[in-house]
Amino acid sequence: MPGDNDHMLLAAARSGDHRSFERLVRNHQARVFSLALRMLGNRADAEDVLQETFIALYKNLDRFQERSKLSTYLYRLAANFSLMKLRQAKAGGARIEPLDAGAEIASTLPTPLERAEAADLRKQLERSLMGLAAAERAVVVLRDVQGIDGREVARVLGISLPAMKSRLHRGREALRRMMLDRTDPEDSP
Amino acid sequence: MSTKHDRTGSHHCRRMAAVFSDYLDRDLREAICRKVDEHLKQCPDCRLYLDTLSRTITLYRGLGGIRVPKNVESRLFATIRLAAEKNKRKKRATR
Ligand SMILES: [Zn+2]
Repeated sequence: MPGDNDHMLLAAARSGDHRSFERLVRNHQARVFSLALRMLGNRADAEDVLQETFIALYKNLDRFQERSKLSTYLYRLAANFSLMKLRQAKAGGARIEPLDAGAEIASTLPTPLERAEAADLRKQLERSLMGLAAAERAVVVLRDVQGIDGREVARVLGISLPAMKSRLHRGREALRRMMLDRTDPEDSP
Repeated sequence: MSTKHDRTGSHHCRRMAAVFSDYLDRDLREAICRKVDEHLKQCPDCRLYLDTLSRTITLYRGLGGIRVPKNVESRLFATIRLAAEKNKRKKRATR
């Protein structure tokens, strides 16, 4: 079980074994990076959040109680750092660049045409995500993209289950509309 | 009514739409679930709405994870090592 593995690695990392901490990072970095990239829509900020998250884990190794799963804890850190960054960007008037994560997506060997179509679709989906309010985006990314259980999502974001559900509903509904607007034949020339 | 289900439908449909997200997550009490099923049987608008909502969610579920690029990983490890060094020095200093 990955949780058992986390437990052993955490214990070793606490006693100062740097290799074990690096293994923990390797086991969890993709989740953290995916969440940050989809929350922020640009690679530089996502990398910042990735670093902030694991530095925070490192500094809190002794305090992290393992009452919650490590993945929940990391998601919480990453979500909070991402939301903080978005708030700062809003205050500073920064622009959000379009996401271009194409090369790193795990691919299953499609044809070039399929790959191009899939890349277009992915860009469209990611652009729509950036059109959501940050609080809704966080819920949709965690629940639907990362595939986390609803109760877990509520725990990660520190909100009630009903609040999580209503954000999820609003987010999904907004994305549905954006999809329809894009595929609406009336919109094409 | 348009495929966008723009809430011009009946009051009943609007109330249904509010629970469709839970319906798709199979997170509704059985009694409510049955009500939704009943309504769907006789309401093509809501069937269409639910279908487009479900397709949207499926697309996002298929988006998949993003691997951390090697150079990003290297910088992350370097940053952590730096924090570890600082930590060691601090411990030594307070001894
Ligand atoms: Zn209806």
